[in-house]
Parts: sequence; C-alpha cells; structure tokens
Amino acid sequence: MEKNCGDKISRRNFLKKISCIGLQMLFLPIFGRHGYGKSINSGFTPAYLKLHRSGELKERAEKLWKIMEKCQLCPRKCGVNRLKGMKGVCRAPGSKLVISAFHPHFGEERPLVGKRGSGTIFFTHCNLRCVFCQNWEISHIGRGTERSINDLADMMLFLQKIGCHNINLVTPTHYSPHILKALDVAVEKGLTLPLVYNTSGWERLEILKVLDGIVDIYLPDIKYWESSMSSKYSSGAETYPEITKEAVLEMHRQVGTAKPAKDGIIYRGLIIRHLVMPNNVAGSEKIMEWIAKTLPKDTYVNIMAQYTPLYKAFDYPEISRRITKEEYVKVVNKAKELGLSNLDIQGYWWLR
Amino acid sequence: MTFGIIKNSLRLAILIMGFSGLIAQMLLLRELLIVFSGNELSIGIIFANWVILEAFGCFFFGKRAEKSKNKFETFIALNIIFSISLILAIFFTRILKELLGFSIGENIGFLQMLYSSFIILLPTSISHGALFPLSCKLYSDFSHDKASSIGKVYIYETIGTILGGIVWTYFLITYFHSFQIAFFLVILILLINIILIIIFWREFRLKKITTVITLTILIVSLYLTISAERIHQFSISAQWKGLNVVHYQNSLYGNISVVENEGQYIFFSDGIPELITPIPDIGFVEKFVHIPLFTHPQPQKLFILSGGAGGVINEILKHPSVKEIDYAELDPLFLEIIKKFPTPLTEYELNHKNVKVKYIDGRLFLKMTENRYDIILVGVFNPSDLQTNRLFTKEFFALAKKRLNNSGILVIGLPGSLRYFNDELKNLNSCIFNTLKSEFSYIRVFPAEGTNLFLASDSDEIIHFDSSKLLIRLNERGIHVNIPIARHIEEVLHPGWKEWFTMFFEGGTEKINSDFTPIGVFYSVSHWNSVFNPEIAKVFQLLEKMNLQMFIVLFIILIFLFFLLPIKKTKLYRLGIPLCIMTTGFAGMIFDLMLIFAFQSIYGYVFSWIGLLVTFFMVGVSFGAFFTNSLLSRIKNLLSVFIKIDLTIISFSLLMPVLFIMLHPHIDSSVEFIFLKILFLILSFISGSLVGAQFPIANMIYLEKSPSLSETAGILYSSDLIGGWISGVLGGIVLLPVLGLLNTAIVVVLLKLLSLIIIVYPTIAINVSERR
Repeated sequence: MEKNCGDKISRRNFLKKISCIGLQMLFLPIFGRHGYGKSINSGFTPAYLKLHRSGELKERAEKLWKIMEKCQLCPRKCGVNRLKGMKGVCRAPGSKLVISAFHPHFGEERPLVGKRGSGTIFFTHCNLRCVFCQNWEISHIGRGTERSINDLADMMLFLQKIGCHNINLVTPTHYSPHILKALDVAVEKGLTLPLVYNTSGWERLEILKVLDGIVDIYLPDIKYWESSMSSKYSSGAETYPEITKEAVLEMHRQVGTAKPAKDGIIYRGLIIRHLVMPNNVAGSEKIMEWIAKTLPKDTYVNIMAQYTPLYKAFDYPEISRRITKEEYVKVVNKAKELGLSNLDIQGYWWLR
Repeated sequence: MTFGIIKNSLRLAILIMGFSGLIAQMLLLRELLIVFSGNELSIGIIFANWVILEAFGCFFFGKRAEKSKNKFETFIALNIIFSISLILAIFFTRILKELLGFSIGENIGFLQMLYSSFIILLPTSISHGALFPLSCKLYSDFSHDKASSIGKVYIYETIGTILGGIVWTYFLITYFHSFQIAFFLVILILLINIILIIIFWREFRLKKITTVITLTILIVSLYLTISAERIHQFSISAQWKGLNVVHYQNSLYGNISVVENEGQYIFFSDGIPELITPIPDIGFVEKFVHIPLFTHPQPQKLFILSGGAGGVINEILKHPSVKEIDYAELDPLFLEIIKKFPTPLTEYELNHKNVKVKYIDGRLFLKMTENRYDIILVGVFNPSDLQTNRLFTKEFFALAKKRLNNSGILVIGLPGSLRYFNDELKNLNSCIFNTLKSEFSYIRVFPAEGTNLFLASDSDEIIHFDSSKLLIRLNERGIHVNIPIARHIEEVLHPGWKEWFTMFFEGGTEKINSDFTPIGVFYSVSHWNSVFNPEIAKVFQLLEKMNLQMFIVLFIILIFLFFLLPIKKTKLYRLGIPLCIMTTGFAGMIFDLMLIFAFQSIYGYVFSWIGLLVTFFMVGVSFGAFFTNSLLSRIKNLLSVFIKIDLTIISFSLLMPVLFIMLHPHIDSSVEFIFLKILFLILSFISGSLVGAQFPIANMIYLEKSPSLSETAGILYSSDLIGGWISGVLGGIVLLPVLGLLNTAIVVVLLKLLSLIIIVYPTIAINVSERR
C-alpha cells in the first residue's frame, strides 16, 4: 500500500486514497501554520479508552458486525444478510463501507467547532429516507468512495492531527460496526478525541446500549412528533416518534447534559437538533414540550430554520415551501416559555 | 381536371411537408429543452436524433412506400401518423420526468436525454422522413420531366421550411403554446390531405376508408383545437403532479412557471426552482448580502444581476449607506411575472425609490451602461447552461471589473458541498476561481453547504475581513441587530475556512472559462452527471482531459500510418469520398451548433432564435446542393471542384470562430448587436451551402466507380448522417465546451485534411506515375 505513495503524490490523491498515511503529513503544513496539530483536548479522556484497553471495544465491534448477518442495526430491522453483500432499506452495499467526505467542519454547533473545527466524516446511504433530504446525493443515491476499516481509522487520526476537537460521525447508524472496528484501530494508534454520534435519532435501544461508554457526544435529531408524519415523509418510518423518544432518553442517561468546558468546547453530553417544518409537519411545539418535561431544562437544543423544499419535497405540496419567520419564532418562543435555557437559535432575520 | 391544379395541389402538399417538418422539430426541441433544464448542450443530441431518425424513415419506410400500390393512401397515412405522434410527443415530453422517475425540480442526465429524446422523436421524425421519397415519387408520376422532379420537390420543401422558420420565430412562439401550434399544424396537414383526396379521387384504391379516417381525424382535431387550452392545462397539471400552477409561459429565453402554495410563489425556470417569494432562503440571502456589504467600506451604488427580488434587495436596503440599486434579470420577463404575483416583500423591493429595475438582459445592461458600482451581486449560482455561463466567463468578469469602482467587489456563488466532494465539483470551483483570478487581484471564498460564495476585488479588504471588523462596521453604521452576530454569518467568517478551501482546491483544474470555451458548463454538467450516472462519469473525466494537442498527435500518427503502411493507396480512393462526406457531415453539425452556442453566449436568448438559425442553415444546404447540381453538366474536373469545396469548408471553419472572437469585444451598442445577429444568419446560410454543395459532386464522382445509383446515394447519405450524428452528440457535449470554438474548429480542419489527403494523394500518385 505504501507503494502508492510514490512520486506521484499530490494532495488531490490524498482525498482519494487516504490509505496512504504518509500523505496526511502534506495537509499539516496548511493547518499547521496556525499552530494546529498540538494535542488540544488536555484534561479530557474519552470513554472508549477504558473499553479499548480491556479488549471490550473489539468484542463490541464484533458483536455489532455479527448483527449484519441478519441486519437489525436500525429500527427497520430488515434482516438482510449484509455480510453476504445484500442491501437493506438503507441501500448500504452489504458490509462495504462507503464514505462521501471527511474534513474539518466549521459550520456545526459552536461548541463542537471551536477554533479548529469539528472533524466530520460523512457516511453514505441512510435508513430513514426522507423525501425532503438535503443530502440526497449521498444519503439516497449513495455517492462516495469505498473505504476500508483502516482507512476510516486513518481519517479519524488525521482529523485529530490537524487539530479538530472531535470526530463527528454523520449518519452512522448503519455503519456502527465499521465505526467501532475502526475506532479500535485508531485508539491503538493514539486517538483521544470524543466521538460525536450525529444521527437521525431513530436508533434501537439494543444498539445504543452497545455504544454505551464509547460515544461521548450524542447529536440526535428529533424530526417528528406524529407517526403519521414520519411515515409519510420518511418512507414508512411510523415508529420514529416513539423509538426516537426512548433513544434520546437512553442517550441522555449515558452522557448527560452537554456542558461546555472552560475552553468553550463540549466534550460530552447530549445535543438535540430540531428542524422546524412548514405547516407544523414536525410537531415542533409538542417536541419542545416533551423535552422540557422529560429532560433537564438546560438540555442543549438547536432549533433549525433552514428548511427549504429539496429533493422530492415538491411532490408534497404541504412541504413544498419555506417556513415563515413567524413559524420559526413561534417554536423558539414556545421553547423559551417552557423554560428551556440552553437554546441554540440561529439568528436568521439578523438585521432589523 | 387540369394538369396545373393537380401539380399545384401536390406542390402545396410538399410545401406543407417542409413547413410542418421545421415547426415540429422546433416544437419538440423547445419542449425537450424545457424538460432538460434549458441545457443547450442537449441541442446537439436532439438534432442528432432527429436527423438520424428522419433519414431512417426516408430510407426504410420511404423506399418501401415508393413501391406501394396505394401511394396516395400511404401518403395520407404517413401524414396522419406524423400529426398524431406530434401531439403525443409533446404530451409525453411534458411528463418525461415522471416517466423517467425524476421529481419536479430534478435534472435529467445526458444518458437519459439521449435515449428519451430518441424514443420521443421516433414516430414523428420517421414518418416525416418517409414522406420525402414518397412525395418525389408522386410528383414525378404527375410530371412530364421526371428527371428534375426530385429537385423540384426539394425546392418546394425548402420554401416550406423557410416559411416555417419565419412563421415560427415571428408569429407562433410569441402568441401560442405548443398544443395550439401543434393542432394548427395538424389541421393544416389534414386540410391539404382532403384536397388531395378530392383532386386525386380516381387514384385512390381505398377511397371510402381513407376519406372517412381523414375526415374523422380532422373533425376530432378541430374539436380538440377548441379545447387545446384544456389539453395544455391537463398536460401541465400532469407534469406538475397536481401542484397549483398559476403561470406557465415561454419567454424568449426559456420557460417560466409559477406554482402557488399557501401564499408562497415558487418560480421555476425551465423546470428548476429559482425563487420562492415572499420567504427568502434567509440564511443564504443574509450571507450573500451582508458579508460583501460589511466588507466594503461604504457601499453606495450596487448592481444586482439576477435574483434581486424576494429578499436580496430587502436586505441591502437595511444598509443606510446604499443610495442606488440597479437591478436586472437574465430574462426580463421574469421580473414582469414576479410583479404579476405580488407579495408585500417583492412590492416593497421593486417599488423602492432607490431601486431601478432594468427590463433588459443583465449582461447586456452592464455592457451598455456607463455607471460604476461599489458592489455587483450575481444571483445565479451555477453555470449550468450556456445562458447562465455568460455570468461566469473571463469576458464577463472583465466587464464587471470595468464597471466597478476601485475598491469595488464582485460577488458570485458556485455549487459547493461540505458533504460530498468529487473532482467535478472541485474543477468547477477551481476553474471559476482561476477565471476570477485572471481579472482580479484578490479573491476570498466562503465555502458553505449548497453554495460557495466568492468575493473578488482589487482591494485586499476582502481578505482581511473578519468577525471583529464586522462588529466595528455594525457599530459605525448604526444598524440595529437582533443578536450581535448571527450564527450563520459568524460560521462563514470562521478563519478555518481559508485553509479548508486551499485543501479543497489542491489538484483542481487550471483551465479558464470563457464565452467561446464554456468549460464551466461542462464541469457543472459533469458534476450533475457524476451524481446521476456514475457509470459514465469516468468517461466524462477522460473527456475533460482532452485537448487540441492530442488531436494533432493523433492526426500526425494517422498521416504517418497512411504513408508508411504498405497498402495500395489507390484503393483508399473509394473509401475517401464517403469519408470526406462523413467529415463534411461532421463539420456541418459543428457549424450549426457553433452558431447556436455562440449566439447563446453573446445574446442569451437562442431559445427564440434557434428556428431562424436552423432555417437559414437548412436553406443553405438546399441552395448549395442546387447550385452545384445545376452546374454538374458543365463541370469538367469533378474532383478538382470537390477538393476546392473541401478547402473552402476548411477555411470557413477557421474563419468563423476567428470572426466571432474578433467581433465579440467590440459590441457595445444595440445597433452592433443587430448587425451581428444578421451576420449569424448569413454564416448559418454559408455553412449550410458549403455542406450542401459538396454532396451532388461526391455523388457524381462516386457514381463513376459504382454502377448502382441507389447504392451510391445510400452510402454517401449515411456517411453524411453518421458524421452529423457523431458531431451532434460529441460536439455539443464535449468538443465545444471543453475545447472551445476555435480549437473545435481546428479539430474539424484536421479531420477534413485527413479525409482530403486520402482523396488527393492517390490522384497525385497516379499523375506522377503517368508522367514517368
């Protein structure tokens, strides 16, 4: 493999062939100029270290890997044999790992981005399959590059090396076995960044239990309050509200409330995202009520306003428009009224 | 019945055949273009398919129909098939996205364009193609001078085509929608059929059934014409899957449709959503407007080229220093339609005292105005076709720079993604970056999901702008805010993005996008293509690497092979003529597309002029064919004339792009614009004539060596078509956008030289050996 890193090295090849670990150094000068590359999360110890040392991380990875034989990684439980290359609802190509991008991201939640960015890794395919998907190229059509477990481990290490504050795994659900395997490899080579599990929220309790002690930051969506809506807009996922509520509670049980450390960065905890949709399709106020009632008042809640009709949304008149300022403000006000004190509000309609 | 009436009725029928051929071609071209998101690169594909299908009809069905005992019945049957299939083709084109499994607002890939347009055009083009030989036969049956009858049919068909082009451009497209036009055409065809039935009553064997069928269809068509509006509406609602379409109109530039949804209007341009009123994509609009306006020390005079209404102007007006905003769209009709569906936001924006709305193509306005601006905002964020690419070329950036004050800023956007990178996206961004860099000293990129924002300026202010500067300016200008810095603004100003973009760019292309080398469109289209058709994405990646040097090397290798290989060169002579005709067919289609693309790059509204350009080209072909045909008997050395025409084609293909490149920078007034437009028609005519002129001579030369007339015509005609088809598909999608006008012309020259050498060499060799 190292032979590939011969004379024809260019940074462009790197993006294609992360497997050449030596190439990663080429990036460092770019990010290194600003003093990146030092260990920055001093004082923080990720939960997974202990599990790695005891060998349990490896066992858990194997446990999840075996589930793919009759895949039940997500609530769809379609039971296909991914180890034999079969595709389930998520359309992930068997047990192959396909990744569309990885890089330092400066547009995620402020306490995740800090100065040096959130180390995002975007996984292709998705089990929820929403009609208004904003990344349908990767989630529905599955555009990306096939990678090995070692590649994934190298990506994590690379993101740590250039100074990112965390490893942000986007749409990880159907690749959780791969992630755990790669993590085990990466930890061995020195990974110490917290993992961000950036998910639709529709997660099985059984799987979340396996992730207990591995993930430090859970970043779930709560997309819908009513199952008729989740069923209609997310390909028959009528169990979404029910399962997601339970999942969020379990996530909170594991990592607690997200609180920034002295440096302003969040290293552990639960961050909830909610996208306000037109015509109250999401049931936003009900969701806020549930959060306020069930979780601590200082739970980090990001209320998002950027809904815009995309992908197949034009096939559904009730969601083929943008949300109004009033629709958004109403949800924010409701959340404030309910006493939610840690709201991340986007500040659209900025100038008066 | 007198002979005159008989002949006149046939002439009329043939004239209408030419007329309806052009109108049908234009109708379907326009409908397909709308469904293909207005992507002009698909014109080549559509033409190629139309031509090849027409030829297929001419050869296979036409020849058979010629031998049929019921010639008149067949003629009428073909007319009826043509009519019905035309109506159906329009309908199926409108619901094509649904049929192919695409959603409203999605783009169609090239592969799908290729086969779907083939299937849709199939019955219409084939039946129209079959009519030609049959008309020739009918005409010669009733003519004293049988030999010249093909020529006469050709003339009447050409007259019909000319009429069609003029009526289409100046009458039909302005006042009627496609179904109305199609039904007019159908009625016209059926009426002439009735006339034929009456006049040639005795010739018909199946009198009753033909009459009954024709009359029935005529009556049905008359009825349907009255309800054409309803069919039109029905097809639109099928196309838009029940959305409330409140407006559907073809402008000179393309199709504009408006969908209403709970008080919000979504404006679609060629099926792609462009604007939603009155709720802006606020997160984006605030970035797009406030970042440059706070970056500039004192923005007073602004120009918005497209995308001003529906939020942008409203945000700009929040800056107290702004005194004047000039605003134009690429399609002026867009503005009128926004006004037609007023919302408080757009009314406020368009009627504000500081806003001057210009009802003229934005680029043309910028060219003609003498104003100088502090900021120019370009509100089109993808050079997805030639029309929009006009705002991303070196020429445009140079023009923008001329119209900017010293510290002025040009703001553009390009497709960007934080989730999915591919080489196509990288090349698109880096190509436009290079193009900007060739005109401006400083460029700052703000990467973001969906759209990367580019600021270009000769002042380094844009490089040093950050959150702290923003806070100072907010304070200075006394603007009230809801929170100190909105998250989405702070986010894009994060210093980490600067390095991010450097990383993203590494290894991207170094090519530059220009009016006559619209490589930007190619990258945009291949990005789209790589998402939908990854299986052919690799092909596109290879095509991107293509350059003129490769063609030159290939040319030299082929020449060497030709001279060095121990083959009897005289044998190749037989191959040379069809090969030459093939390269001429290739050149012809390239000329046609070159004119269409150049027109679009300069004016942006080829949608309305394509009919005329094609007509002039086709008339040129007929004229050329006639001209040489009439001289045939007087030509002593056929081969020498043939070679001379070939050399003329070669010189012409060099001359045309040079002419465009020379004239392009000097058009600054509307008078010159009109002059250039006429030049386009003249050039169309000349290209056609050159292509047409060669054919009869080739026919004669080839006949000397070949006994069969029909075999000769068949071989030569198919060579011509194969050449045309290849260049329609390749030239449109690859050659012209990647190599540009001039280099494509050089490729044509190389190809022509190659085929010429194959013909000339044996002659010289024979002469030399004879002399010895």
